[in-house]
Amino acid sequence: MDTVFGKSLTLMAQGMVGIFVVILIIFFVLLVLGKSKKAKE
Amino acid sequence: MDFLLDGLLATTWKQLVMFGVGSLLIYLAIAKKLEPSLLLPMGFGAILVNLPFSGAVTQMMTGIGEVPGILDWLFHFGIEAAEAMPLLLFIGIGAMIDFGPLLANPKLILFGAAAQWGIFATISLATLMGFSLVDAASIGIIGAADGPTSILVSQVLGSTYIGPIAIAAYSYMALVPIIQPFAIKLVTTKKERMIRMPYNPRSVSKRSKILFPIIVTIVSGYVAPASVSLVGMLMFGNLIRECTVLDTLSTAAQTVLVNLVTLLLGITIASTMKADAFVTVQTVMIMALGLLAFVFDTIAGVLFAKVLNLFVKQKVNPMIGAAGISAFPMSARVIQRMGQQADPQNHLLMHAVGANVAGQIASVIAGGVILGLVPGLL
Repeated sequence: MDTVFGKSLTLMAQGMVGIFVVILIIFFVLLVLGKSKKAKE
Repeated sequence: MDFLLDGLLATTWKQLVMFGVGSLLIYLAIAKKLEPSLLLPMGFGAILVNLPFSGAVTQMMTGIGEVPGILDWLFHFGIEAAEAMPLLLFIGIGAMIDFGPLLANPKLILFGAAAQWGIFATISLATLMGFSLVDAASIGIIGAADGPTSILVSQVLGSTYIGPIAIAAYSYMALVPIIQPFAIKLVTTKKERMIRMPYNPRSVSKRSKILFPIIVTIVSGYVAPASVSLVGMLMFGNLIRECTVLDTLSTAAQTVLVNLVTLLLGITIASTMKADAFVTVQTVMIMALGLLAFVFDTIAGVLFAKVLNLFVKQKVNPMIGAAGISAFPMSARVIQRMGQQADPQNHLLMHAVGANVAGQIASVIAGGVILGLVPGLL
């Protein structure tokens, strides 16, 4: 994994995990924002 | 009177090539209407900076010393110093985006994440072609399908290929209506493209629309701090739009600010298009890799939707996954058109718009994640 290509694969794995973590948190935020509206209704 | 011929005699074949490139960009902007607000200034700028001894860029003059050129000055203060221009542009983009379709159908945000895979696939491919990790990451970010993000990431990482990267990003964004149908048809059947998706959005309160940009900024800031300038400016623009008490500022951000910054950004980027640095084999490779990045993004989004379909009762039209790239709103329109080509009664636009704005968020997060990770791998 010390080659540039190996590092790019590490970047792919860590990058996609990072993006999905942030997006999943935002997903739950979206769900909560939707729920609070429903509760109010 | 020899000085009258100095410029002509100093012209190199590479500069002539750049005049051709500049003319081509101007032609595409005017005749084909491909991202004219960016490609026209870039095209004109490409001619401007490649005139021998051009005063538009910094020159060493005998007996005087260094004479600063306006385009180099704009590049230094507008992009190099703190990435001001791309970031200011994000305020306007944020003010333009309605996250309503996403708030009404939250699961669409997952497509935004999946469609960023093309960035990383392209980075790996670029390293195999001999680029350093920094340059490969800068090239891969073309797959964010987001011009300002591409410029910002390549600038922060210190890539020497910012000019071709910007051209590739904006050109392929304009060519999404050609690139995406090709890529989507590679990985879908007509039966899949015919899948209908009923649109039953839940109502979205004003409070939710106001809270959303604030919460997303805080979340992104904690999880991926490097993304916070990108996400923050995007969400700041969106907050101005949704708060409804700053309508004149919102309108100004969407029109005057965007137009002014875009105008300056295009011609400023041209300062990186000097013949010696631009007319290289690497430029051709970058254009090819940029195209592949868009194709990989599209395919990843579609395949993610197919995988999702294995687990959900209400099937998703796989093409919605392709709208997870950030090219807004071209990608959503492409999906709507392809859906109707497969089945004239198939209306996918609102789903596609939701995935498309999700792509906008995910692409800036991807930019921030790359900025955060690459230095640690060097």
